[in-house]
Amino acid sequence: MHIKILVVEDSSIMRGYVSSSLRVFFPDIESVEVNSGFEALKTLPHHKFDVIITDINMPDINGLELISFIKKHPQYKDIPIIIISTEKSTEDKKRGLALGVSEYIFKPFTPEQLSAVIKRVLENKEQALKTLETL
Amino acid sequence: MKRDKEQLIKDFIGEAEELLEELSSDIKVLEKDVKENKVKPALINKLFREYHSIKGLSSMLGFDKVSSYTHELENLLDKMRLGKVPIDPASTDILFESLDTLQKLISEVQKGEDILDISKARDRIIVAQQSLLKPETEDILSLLDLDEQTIKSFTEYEEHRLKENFRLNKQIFCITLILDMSTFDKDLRTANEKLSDTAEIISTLPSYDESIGFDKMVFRLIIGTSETDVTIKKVLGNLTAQLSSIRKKGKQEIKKEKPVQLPEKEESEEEETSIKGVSQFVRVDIQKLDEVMNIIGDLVIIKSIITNISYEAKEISEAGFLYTKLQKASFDFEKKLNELQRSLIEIRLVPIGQIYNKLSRMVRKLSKTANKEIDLQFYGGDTELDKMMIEQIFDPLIHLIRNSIDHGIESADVRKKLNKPETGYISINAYQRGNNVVIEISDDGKGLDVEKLSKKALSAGLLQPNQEMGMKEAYELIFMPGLTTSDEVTEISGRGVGLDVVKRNISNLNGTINVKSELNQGTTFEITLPITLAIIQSLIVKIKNNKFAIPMSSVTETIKAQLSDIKTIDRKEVITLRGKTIPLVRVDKIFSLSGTEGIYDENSCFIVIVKVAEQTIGIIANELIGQQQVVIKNLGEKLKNLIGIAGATEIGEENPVLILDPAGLAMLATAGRLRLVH
Repeated sequence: MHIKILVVEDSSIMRGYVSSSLRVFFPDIESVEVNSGFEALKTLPHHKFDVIITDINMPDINGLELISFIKKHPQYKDIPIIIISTEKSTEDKKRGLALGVSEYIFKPFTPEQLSAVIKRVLENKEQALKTLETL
Repeated sequence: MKRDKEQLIKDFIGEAEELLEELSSDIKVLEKDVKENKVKPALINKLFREYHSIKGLSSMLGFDKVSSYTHELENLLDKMRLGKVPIDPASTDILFESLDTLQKLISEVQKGEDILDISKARDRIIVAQQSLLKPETEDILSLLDLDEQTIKSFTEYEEHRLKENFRLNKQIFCITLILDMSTFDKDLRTANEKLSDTAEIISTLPSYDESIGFDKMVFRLIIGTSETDVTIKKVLGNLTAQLSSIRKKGKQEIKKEKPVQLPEKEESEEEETSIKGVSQFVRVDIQKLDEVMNIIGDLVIIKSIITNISYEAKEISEAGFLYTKLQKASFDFEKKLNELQRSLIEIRLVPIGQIYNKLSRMVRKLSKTANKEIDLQFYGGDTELDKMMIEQIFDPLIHLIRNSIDHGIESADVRKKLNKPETGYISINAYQRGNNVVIEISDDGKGLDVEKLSKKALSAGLLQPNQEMGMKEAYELIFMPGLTTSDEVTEISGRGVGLDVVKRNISNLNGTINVKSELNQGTTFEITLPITLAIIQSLIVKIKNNKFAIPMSSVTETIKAQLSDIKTIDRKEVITLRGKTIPLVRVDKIFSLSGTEGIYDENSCFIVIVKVAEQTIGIIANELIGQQQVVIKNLGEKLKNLIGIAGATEIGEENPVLILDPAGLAMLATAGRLRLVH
């Protein structure tokens, strides 16, 4: 299955880690990596993403602000969003979920854990589409 | 997926060191801001993000020690940014300390060691977190005119900043900017910069407005400020925007204006490029550049083989036409090779300012230990040097600065008596001079005491009684092994390692060091370094049938001399050139080279005059072969410390050629002269 993901993260090592982790479990994955919320906003119109993975703590516009934008935008609102964060930001986790984030994953995580989350998110999306069709 | 663990460690160290540099300069700003009582919340948040990043990275890669340490720092900064822990000199000290500990932890990762005990350092951070300020309880959000989506998008930190601004009775405005999709990031940064002096940007929320269209982005900034709406509008200038106060209470005039769009920017291809380029910079392992440099070195050799073939072709009458063609090709080849070398050297260059941060941290620590106030000034931070050079020059610089603080700068009482400012002054100035970079380290301390130096030199047997000595030679004495003018051993300078080591380190880099001093006025060390070590222009000479390369940077002239011109003074060979006596060195004697002497003219020889710092010596050679650019290769561990040899190179298809180190040879020549044993 071909899937396309957007990775928003200001650390290049983390971006690389996420992409290469997923490539093992999803050989046909295409990942677009950006280093800030601004870059994410610029990239969004040019691709059709299946999943967005984002960090919270970033300069200029943070992860929550980016999520808020995506969830209100008619073209992007259905793209599942996964937040990568550290275990300490529980308050921000609550806020992210309130904004409609699909999943949370805490650092440190293994490639297997990340892939499991992506699988779950994609299955839910498929399920939702099927439900829509039967309606 | 399994990326090489080694590569991961390298990547980690690279990124961690970058973050450490950032932290270092940010903490310096913070210290100043704390003193002046004008700490910017954005700075604390940035520090939080930086520690947070190191922590995230180290935990992902399983560097548990780094991650457990940075975890506490992250916690501390989180509490500071949320107003739960005060930002004062004590907490700044903890952050400064963290820089050193982190540096050590990172080098542990690099070496694969696990020696450092960080439990105490960590405990101090944990204790610092406990000085809790009262938590905020008021419900301020309901007093503000904000829609639900905006409130939902606030992070905990943003919400805290909003409340703080409210509590401090600041104006709270909402600014709406409608920006072009292709340029919004630049425009928004411009807006941020313009606002940064007069306002605090609390939140930046991008939003979508159907009526405006897909090629526009709408941003809502929430800012806190002491200025009026009129001033803010003026500050924003042509970035005209809709602006309204969001405080509910009172009869605050809420102006509603139709959002004004930014002037249309010219359509360009910028959009395309800005999508593709995540960042303009690529981080490259220096070893990879070394590999490329080695390949270029091999290419240089291949080039000279081609040139030689062209000469051979010239000799064969049927191949004569090939000669011109080969010559042309090898000429073009050489030109491109030179370009390639130059570009590669440029890639390797980094600004020396990269180590300034680290140096100032050290000085801060050293001056505390020595209990002396030091004003440290840096100049020429953008002067560029080879990355390897910059790494290697760090220790000698620290050594010199340490000396200045410890022995040069007097204690505050003494300075007061001498009518000097109580705070000692040290400056580091770097600039380019031709193909070299000069680094000057100056202090306004007590200067070198020539008399004391001579006495010490006498008692150490480095000098003969009655030996006359010029000022310059006297200053040179401080670079002799085993000589120090300080009477006591202090914590900072310690014992044993002296300026001779500094000098040796610098000459290993093909550099020179000079000292100027004035009693009670101060001392200046001047280090001259080649911009890169990777490639040097050299003079190839033959000494007893062995080829040697001498770096051109130190060659001043070559002369042809009759053996009868060479005189012996104090068992040392010298030659008189324009009234000056120049000591000579015979490389073959120093390295006990065997070789057929017979084929050379017994009555004459060439002398290559080289100048190193203020010393001039002559190297006796049998034949001058020519100038050539050579790629320096290290001799390996065993021969690394050999005095007089800087490395080896390959020219043509022959055996490797040794590169002479003029500084080392000069040291051998002068050391003999000063010692005058027997």
